[in-house]
Amino acid sequence: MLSEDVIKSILENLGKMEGVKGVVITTTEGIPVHSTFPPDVTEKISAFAASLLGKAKEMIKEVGGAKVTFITLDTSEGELLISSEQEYVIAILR
Amino acid sequence: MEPNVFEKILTRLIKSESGIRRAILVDRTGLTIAHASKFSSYYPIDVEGIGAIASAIFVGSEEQGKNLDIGDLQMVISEFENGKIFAISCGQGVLCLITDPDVNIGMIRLLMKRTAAELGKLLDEFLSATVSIPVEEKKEEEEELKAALDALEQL
Amino acid sequence: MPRVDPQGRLHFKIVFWGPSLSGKTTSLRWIYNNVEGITKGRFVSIEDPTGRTLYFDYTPVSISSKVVFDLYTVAGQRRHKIQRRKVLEGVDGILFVADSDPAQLQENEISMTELRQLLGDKLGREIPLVVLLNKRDLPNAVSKETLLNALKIVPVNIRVYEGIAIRGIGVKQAFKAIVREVLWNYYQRAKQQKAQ
Repeated sequence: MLSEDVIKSILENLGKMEGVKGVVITTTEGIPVHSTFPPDVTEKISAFAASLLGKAKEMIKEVGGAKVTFITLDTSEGELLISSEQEYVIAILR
Repeated sequence: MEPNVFEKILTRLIKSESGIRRAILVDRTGLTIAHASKFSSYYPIDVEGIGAIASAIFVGSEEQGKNLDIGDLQMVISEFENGKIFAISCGQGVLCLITDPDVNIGMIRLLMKRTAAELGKLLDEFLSATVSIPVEEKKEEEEELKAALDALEQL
Repeated sequence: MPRVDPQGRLHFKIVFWGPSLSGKTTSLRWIYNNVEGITKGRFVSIEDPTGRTLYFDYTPVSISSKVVFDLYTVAGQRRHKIQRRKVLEGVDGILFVADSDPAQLQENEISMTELRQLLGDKLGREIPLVVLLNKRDLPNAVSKETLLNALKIVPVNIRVYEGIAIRGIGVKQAFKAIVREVLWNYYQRAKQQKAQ
């Protein structure tokens, strides 16, 4: 389990990063644990980020067996960073 | 209403995310309206019995919420060793999904909320239509009732 | 009102009502196991570890291709009142299973009062009622009159059967009676609706 302290320090570190719009921490099951977004946005980001990470892991496993540690999505409005920490998924929008 | 419209929506729901085994749509009196499963050859279950319990559990939980004054029930998630059951309010009915144990709960919730909004309207339309059956269908129904009465006397 | 499923079958819901241990589940099981000529689904029970009904028993039966009877029992113990009310939703007919044990006389009365409170005027009119007086073989069984008095039932307009559910006596007759009443009731009302 991620303790409150760990979550706090993660958020603090992320806050120092430039241009971060928001952060969602979710379980690999897509259940949000912490978020800086309103509930409906959080729900969507959680579900899709966890799903995307799951798919990515599946794909990498199929083609070589390496471990996925980070996903970067570039969009026209910024980027979405997804990383996996123990049984958690951290999604950062910036 | 198009026949099989419920099955089509349920089938689409099953295909939209991995790990969903079955979908069942029931009304709040325990009647199974529709169901769909991932594989046609899948382990046969007693759909009507499952539907009756699914409805009863949801309606029971709903009542518990009322008694405790904690508002309307949105969703019930039951976690089992080898699977999960999700149930969501869907108009006058309840939509139920049976899934693998390791599904993306967040995604299933999201999909169910969307599907329930769509299905709920159709279901309410369907259930209200059955209360007032058009006259031309009545004749057929009369025959069915007579047949049932005759069969009853044979028991 | 019965409901039509997407396959076009008419579903009627019949609930076996009555006090705790009066023989509701026994009657339903007997019908399930012994009445020939009905097509039936699985028998579903939600019961406690001692085998007493906790929520309901359920089995769908049909006697013709287009008409299905969803048969339910309720949990008779007093604390399950909320569950009973839930099972009653959408009911088309009641088979009341009464207990002839003198010690249970008041329980019969309480159970019938609860039913009347829940269904109001509809009971016996829109929602037909048939009464099965069970356990007539008890050596100290209360008289039929006493039991009907307690239930405030006048056997003129309500069908009453005496039986021994555990041996299947009277059960089939009572079951046929409630099914007949439910069908007739709907038939008459459908005809009225058509005439309008």
